[in-house]
Amino acid sequence: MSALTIFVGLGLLLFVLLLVVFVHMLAQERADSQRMLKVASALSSEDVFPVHCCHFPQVRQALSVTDQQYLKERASARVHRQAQEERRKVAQQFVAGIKEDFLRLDHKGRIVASLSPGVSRKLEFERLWLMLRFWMLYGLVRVQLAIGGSAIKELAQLTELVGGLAAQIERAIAALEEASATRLRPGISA
Amino acid sequence: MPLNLSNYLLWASATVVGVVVCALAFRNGLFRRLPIFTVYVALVAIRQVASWGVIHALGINSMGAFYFYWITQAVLLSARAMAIAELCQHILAPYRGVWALAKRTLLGIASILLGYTTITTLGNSSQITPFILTAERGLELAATVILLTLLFIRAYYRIRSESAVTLVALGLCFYSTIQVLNNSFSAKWLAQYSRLMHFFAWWEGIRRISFLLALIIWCLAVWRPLSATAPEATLLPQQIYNELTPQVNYRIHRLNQWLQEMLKL
Repeated sequence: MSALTIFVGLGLLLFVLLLVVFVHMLAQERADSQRMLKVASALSSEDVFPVHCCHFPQVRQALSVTDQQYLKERASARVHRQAQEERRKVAQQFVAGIKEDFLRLDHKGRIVASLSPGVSRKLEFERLWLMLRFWMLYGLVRVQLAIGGSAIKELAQLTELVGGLAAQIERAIAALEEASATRLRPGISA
Repeated sequence: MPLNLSNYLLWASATVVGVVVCALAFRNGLFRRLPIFTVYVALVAIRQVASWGVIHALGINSMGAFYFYWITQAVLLSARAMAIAELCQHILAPYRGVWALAKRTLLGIASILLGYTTITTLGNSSQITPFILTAERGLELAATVILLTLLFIRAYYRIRSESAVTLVALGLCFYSTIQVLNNSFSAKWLAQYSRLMHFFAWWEGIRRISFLLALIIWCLAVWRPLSATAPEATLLPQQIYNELTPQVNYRIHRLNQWLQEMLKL
């Protein structure tokens, strides 16, 4: 590969990245001088907590083995196939919901890091790496579900994990409110 | 190489837009936010006007014009490097934790790319044109990567900055990216066909057009007056980060473990 090919390829890649950044920035909100107010309200609002994880019992019921067995015994093969297809769709939608919950929590996590007076290089690079792994594994799990895997038990574990993360954020926010009530007040009233 | 109408039009447009950007930068308060960048824009405007005089007094093919072009280019490149450093500081410094982390990362990237530029430039030192183009390409590459890293960090941590400042960064990044491509082609072709001056005309034309576009982006940046004071970031207590982040990382790690187990089934 010649130097010309490398540099032209690199230049084009950088140009595409620049376009992505530009589009991303156009989609973002404008600069906000009252960011602290927004962050404080966002951290304490309901949207930080998982929405989809809460529906896991209902989803589990819909995807249960007993229901499947019941359908297999009572319904025709066509109806059974149709039901299986629906179950798969429900599972996929639920996993997509888990991703949304995760993204919401991750968003708050990044904001907390950006507004901290000091951050740990080790922890930040670790999180970045873990995020990349999450996306890769999440994609593979989606593929597995698409080709017929059940994974109900694992969905339960996944749900507990994301739900637990929200509970920890809640505890941390409560600690923050206690520790910095005086500091937050001027920011909110400004 | 004689100057044709398109050269004059590009030169005149860049001069007018450069002067307008410079005037607006002072009038609308960008000078208070980004003083080095404003000085850079002022130098650009001065050079645009001065080059007119030099070319007409000495002739475009004279050695005087050659040295004027490349010396002023080196000055502008240095000013742009300082403007980029200023931009990084302006956007990230209010976020002390992120800035401390980003500073080391950006300095590391800059050192690697500048080292690479030095090595490749010295490798092309036998001829003046490839030497200059290789040096410039390396510096532009460093500028692009640093600016994209800055914009990535900004996006990753959801850091908000004024749209004027963001547009300044995008304009700088756009110009540097085009120059990396332009100099890559030119370094190859000018080295091989240095007698074919139409390659130089293409190279110069692309440079002028991309710079004009960058000036237009900066013009948009300074079009509206900026507020008297820059928005400040109010930081959270350190305790919240110390408590939350290890737990978040642990949870994600566990999540990844579960996902891996799901895949094994």
